[in-house]
Amino acid sequence: MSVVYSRRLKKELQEIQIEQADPAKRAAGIQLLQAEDLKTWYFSIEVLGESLYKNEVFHLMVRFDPEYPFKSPAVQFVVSDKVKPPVHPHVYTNGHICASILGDDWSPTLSVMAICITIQSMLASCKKKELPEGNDDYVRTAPDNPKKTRFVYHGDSV
Amino acid sequence: MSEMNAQLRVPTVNDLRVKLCYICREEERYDSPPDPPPVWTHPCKCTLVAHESCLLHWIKTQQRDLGRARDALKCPQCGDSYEIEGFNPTILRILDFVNRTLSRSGRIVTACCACTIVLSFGAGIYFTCTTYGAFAVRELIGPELFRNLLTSNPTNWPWHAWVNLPLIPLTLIASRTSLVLWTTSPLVPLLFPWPSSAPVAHAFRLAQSQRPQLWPPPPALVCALFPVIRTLYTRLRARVTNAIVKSTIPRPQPQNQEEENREQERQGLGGGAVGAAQAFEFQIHEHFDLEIRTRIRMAAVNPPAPLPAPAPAAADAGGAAGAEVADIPEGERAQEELRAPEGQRQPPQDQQGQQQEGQEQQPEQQQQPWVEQQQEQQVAQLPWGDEDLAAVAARTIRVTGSSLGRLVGGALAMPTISRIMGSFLLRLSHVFPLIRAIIAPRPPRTGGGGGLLGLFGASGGVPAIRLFGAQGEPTGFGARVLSGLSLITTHEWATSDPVWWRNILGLGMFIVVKDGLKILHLRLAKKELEERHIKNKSFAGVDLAGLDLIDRSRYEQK
Repeated sequence: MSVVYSRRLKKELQEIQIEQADPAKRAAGIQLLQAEDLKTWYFSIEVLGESLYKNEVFHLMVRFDPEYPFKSPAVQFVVSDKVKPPVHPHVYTNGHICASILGDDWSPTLSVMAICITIQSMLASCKKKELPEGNDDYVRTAPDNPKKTRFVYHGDSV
Repeated sequence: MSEMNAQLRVPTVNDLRVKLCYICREEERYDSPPDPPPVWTHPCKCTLVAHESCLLHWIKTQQRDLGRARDALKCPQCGDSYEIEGFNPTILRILDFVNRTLSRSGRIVTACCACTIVLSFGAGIYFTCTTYGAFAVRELIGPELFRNLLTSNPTNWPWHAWVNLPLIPLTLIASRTSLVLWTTSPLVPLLFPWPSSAPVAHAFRLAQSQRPQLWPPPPALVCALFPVIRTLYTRLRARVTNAIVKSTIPRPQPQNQEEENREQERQGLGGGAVGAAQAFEFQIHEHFDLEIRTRIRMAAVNPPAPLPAPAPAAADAGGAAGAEVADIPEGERAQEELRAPEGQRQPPQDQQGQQQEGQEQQPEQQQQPWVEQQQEQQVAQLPWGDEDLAAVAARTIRVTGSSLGRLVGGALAMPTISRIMGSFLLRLSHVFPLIRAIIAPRPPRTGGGGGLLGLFGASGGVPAIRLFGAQGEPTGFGARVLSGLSLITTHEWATSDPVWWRNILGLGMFIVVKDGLKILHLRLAKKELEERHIKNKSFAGVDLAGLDLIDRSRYEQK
């Protein structure tokens, strides 16, 4: 099914690039930074308007495997010298995100852009900046790929 | 319109101008199909359409994932169920069904196994308890009655035996905890049901010539009076303990005109001092050093605290004392019964004797002064000031391995102790007619009973009151009342050798003696604590240069 994988990703990338070029269509605060191949894409995300994350810019890394779109992509915030992940009850300090649409609730009706918008609204609706429960334990033992973690989703579904 | 409808039909996926697969995002215009044309499907109620191959792959992917398999056949947008048709022969459906049934029955078997394990564990406990219960009843009522009422063959047992017997060890143990609810219960399964239980063995049917006796009292009466006697005994013991333990502390002799006051104060102190005594006793048995240290530390940290109300203190005397001092329930009963023939109960301590009755009748009136006096007492007498706290501390750490073993072991040994003490009493009764009158032994039914009965009559004073006249009617008022009380007592029970009676009396004696020894232990240990001092040693082995001595020339280095 790798035909589906490449066909669909090329299509999505094409749509994103068209959107990005057109200020009227593009989703505010979300920008494609890099998509050199069909394996890893980078986006920058910021929450516009009033929110706890005003004037903060985060980078999102989206990794695909050939099972896409039947399996969700691996999505996480970039942690580097320049960018830090947001302090959010569903975001661990290693950048991993606990969101059901990245796991059991994934479906092919969603898309990379839909994921970005969901995560942006997850940040926008945050009431209190705090780390997830058990962050330290998780970060110490977490696998490199967040898809290998079986999150237990609770609270508001994002 | 309806004519039009007749010609129209509902559109399908193949009627769309542009088809967009929601999975691979491929578009297809109706006028430019690829070659070969892919199969399209509209599987649900919403507008999503997909390539059939994409959708089948999505369903397969979902079904492989345990967490998502449940929703594999549902549209992610509208939730409508996909219907799959095609190759699904009967044999596959049957095999699927068999497989599902097997896994379901696998779950049932697992549940059954768990149930079996739990049940057999419970049954093991049940039969162990029942066996012990039968043993305890045999010890208490003697082998002869046991053979008649129960026999050693469980198939003969009446139905209530299966309820009462397993309850016996449980109630025995529970009676030694501080749960007030349970303190009265052990006699209920142990003694109460058996007098009314129809004999199951007929080999020892009683000759009609032997008649039921008025003495010993009917077991129902014993059971009913037991809580009262137990409470009285507990209070009495608390006062005795209080008096004996406290008397080692020198205290000013009460003035004559104040004597009543002081005496009342001392009586009122009963609850608190009992707590003290318990704490002390606990120290003797268990972690002696630790306890002392705890007590001292608590005394240091806590100024005289508000005291518990007298009522809880009294409950302590009954409950906690019951647990710690190994209060065996039959004991009080027996002790009181022992005393009864000798006249009114006499408190053993002369100093308390006169106040005893009055105090017992007016416990409420003491309550108010009690608190104040107790606090006063605490300030005045430092060594006793913290004892209530110590009692609390003792209670909180009471459940240790050792104390638990004592509790359970002591409870389960009661029937055997009572049997041994009962036979001891029987032996004594050969020498002392008074004891024989009290325990009222009867000969075994198997032989030559009449002679011994006659002997009793002859040896004098045996209250062999006849309950039934020649026609089996109660005669006389007292007899009628008592026969009413013993109505539920079978002939079998009423006419047999009252082993249970002397066993209970014996157990009571045992408890009195044991409590006496405990109080003695308590007093000696306390005296040792009060009078201990540290032995002085010389500076042998110490470098004299390091000592600042008055006259260095007078000492030698050793």
